[in-house]
Amino acid sequence: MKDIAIKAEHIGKYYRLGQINSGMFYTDAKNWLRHKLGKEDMTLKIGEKSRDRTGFWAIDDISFEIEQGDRVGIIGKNGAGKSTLLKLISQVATLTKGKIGINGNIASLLEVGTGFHPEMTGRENVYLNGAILGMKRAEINQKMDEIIAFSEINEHIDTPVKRYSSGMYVRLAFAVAANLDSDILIADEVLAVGDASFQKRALGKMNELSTGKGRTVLFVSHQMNAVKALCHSGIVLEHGKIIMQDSIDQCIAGYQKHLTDKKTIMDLSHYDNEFFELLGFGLVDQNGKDLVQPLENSQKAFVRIELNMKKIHHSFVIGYSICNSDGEVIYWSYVTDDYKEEKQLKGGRNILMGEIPNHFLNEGEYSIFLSASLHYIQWIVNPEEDAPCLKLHIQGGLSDSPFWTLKRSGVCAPVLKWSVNDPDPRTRIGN
Amino acid sequence: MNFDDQKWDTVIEPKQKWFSLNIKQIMEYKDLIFLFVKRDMAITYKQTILGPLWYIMEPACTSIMCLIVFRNIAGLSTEGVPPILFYFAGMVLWTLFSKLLLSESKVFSDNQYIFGKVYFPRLTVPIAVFFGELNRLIIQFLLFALLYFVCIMKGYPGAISLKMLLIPAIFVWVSIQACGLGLIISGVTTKYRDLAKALTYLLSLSMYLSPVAYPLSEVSVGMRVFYELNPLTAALECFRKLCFGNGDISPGAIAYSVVCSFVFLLAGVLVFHKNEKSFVDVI
Repeated sequence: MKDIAIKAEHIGKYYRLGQINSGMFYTDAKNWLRHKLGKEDMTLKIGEKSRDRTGFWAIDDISFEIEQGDRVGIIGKNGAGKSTLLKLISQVATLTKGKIGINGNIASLLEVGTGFHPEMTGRENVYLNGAILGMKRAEINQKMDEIIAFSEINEHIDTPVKRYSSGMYVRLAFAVAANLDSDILIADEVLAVGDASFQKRALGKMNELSTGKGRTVLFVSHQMNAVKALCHSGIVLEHGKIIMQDSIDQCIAGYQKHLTDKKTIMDLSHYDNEFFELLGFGLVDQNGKDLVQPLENSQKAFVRIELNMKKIHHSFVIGYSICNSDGEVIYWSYVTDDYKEEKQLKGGRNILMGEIPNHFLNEGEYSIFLSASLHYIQWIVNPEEDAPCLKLHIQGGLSDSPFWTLKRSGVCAPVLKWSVNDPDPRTRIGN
Repeated sequence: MNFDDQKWDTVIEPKQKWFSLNIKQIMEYKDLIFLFVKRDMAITYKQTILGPLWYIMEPACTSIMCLIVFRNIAGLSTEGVPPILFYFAGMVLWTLFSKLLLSESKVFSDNQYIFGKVYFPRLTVPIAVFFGELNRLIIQFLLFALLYFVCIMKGYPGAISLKMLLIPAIFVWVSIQACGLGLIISGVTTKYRDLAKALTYLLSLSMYLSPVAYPLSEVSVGMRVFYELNPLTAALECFRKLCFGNGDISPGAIAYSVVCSFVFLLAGVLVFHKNEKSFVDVI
């Protein structure tokens, strides 16, 4: 058995909602006095019994063990408790209950560049930031060249960082963090900075650090690719509870399944609003019948939206947004895209059909979210928040060619036109 | 395996010990303390006209103001000490007290961002603040010594004796008092922020309520009891006694002030300790 690096036992973190106190001493003192006298708290809303009920468990009684050398990705939606968990382990926030045991020293990067001061030079900031993260002066001296090289700051290192571009700033900040020596590394979205090429380099550096030195890594990111590349096991959190702990691939798959499963159970009346009543939202085939899934890529699919329009607004648009299983948006489409005068929505019942072309998307699982808004005015149904969702599973039927029967990489899998030795210049490639 | 049977380098638990002072851990972070001091020094006077000259300008200008108000207009005695030297002595100690108190009271608000992101022994920050203020004290004290020397050249007999070696003890005494009070206030200001604004005002008022620009002997006997309740009074009088040989303060008042100082410091560290754990959730 390998040694345990981190062990959490029934840990919990409770946050009180709203105001902790009124922020004014007089009111607080008065309430405290009333409380002592057994009277009702004046700041409570009518009907509330006591203050204690307004709170929630950001981390709700979870236990886990992480072995030394494990690289663990923590996944979950916003507000699932990922960052809180990292804060608890790195001792920035206090536990409400349970206990955590840690072997080895921790470097926690809840953010890069903490403590950077704009007035100080790059070099001074490296010393300060390094020291805040727990490095000794001698260590920093030893690593200074490496830090400067990685950040590509070079001769600007002795310039105050307020004169840096934001890219330089972030590179320098990351370079310090990446050169930390520690047994356990905790990183929260630190890769979500810098441009794409830097992110790639940063990910490479993180990988090198964790594999080379066998250190334990706890990593939070919304970029599933980054998590997949860096970690080999995962923890899925939801509402402060662990709903899954497995290999990273299993976790990501499970998490995505969990997300879509929850969303396909729809209560359409939930989406009623002042503009329309949603009567139906589904996928159908060319004949208007319910789609048989998985769908072959040679077949067309239609998104069918049935509405009862209650109020006509000239800026009203409705359509859908489609995402792949990594949560990346493939495209948005609105009924108004295919604009014609006669295609106006009328009051009362409307049936909209949006075509998803065949030979267009790649094999895989897709989520289709309803999207409706007053153009540039307000969301009615925001596809990125609480929108009804359909699942589309495409498998097989990629092409008629014997050379293309298996899935290729790529977001799309279109069957495109080619010409071979065609004398007609209009079809020549490049024109 | 059971949690408690295993050996852990660190155990994180909800209930922190009521009072724990991890000196060893703080020592490991002495580089950080040094860098904090350096940072504060560097940024205070970047892009200013006079730079560190402010260290000297502030007490010098206030001393001159005192000379006009307390000496020329109010006509208060300085017990035979050249007035400017007398006021400067008061200012050295008062600046130490007020600036240190003010800086310590801001440790949370100034550093809330870092505190919310990285864990390091929080006590390093107030310690760094103390060393930062020490710089100012040293510069001002050297200027005071120079002024003292000039006054002797001009005919002031002076009161140079071996007792002057006790002066650093007075500085420690005042620092303990200021740090303690500052830390207590820092804890309260995380909840009630207007207190930070009130503090600057209260401090400037209390300068007039402490015998900074006048000796205690000028205070009527009936008022003295109230003056001696102010723990700073004893320190100021002792300091002038060591420097100029006159000034009167009872041993009781000294003992009271010293005890107060240590009580403040203890309470301050306790408040700080309680707050460093919870304030991230409060702010």
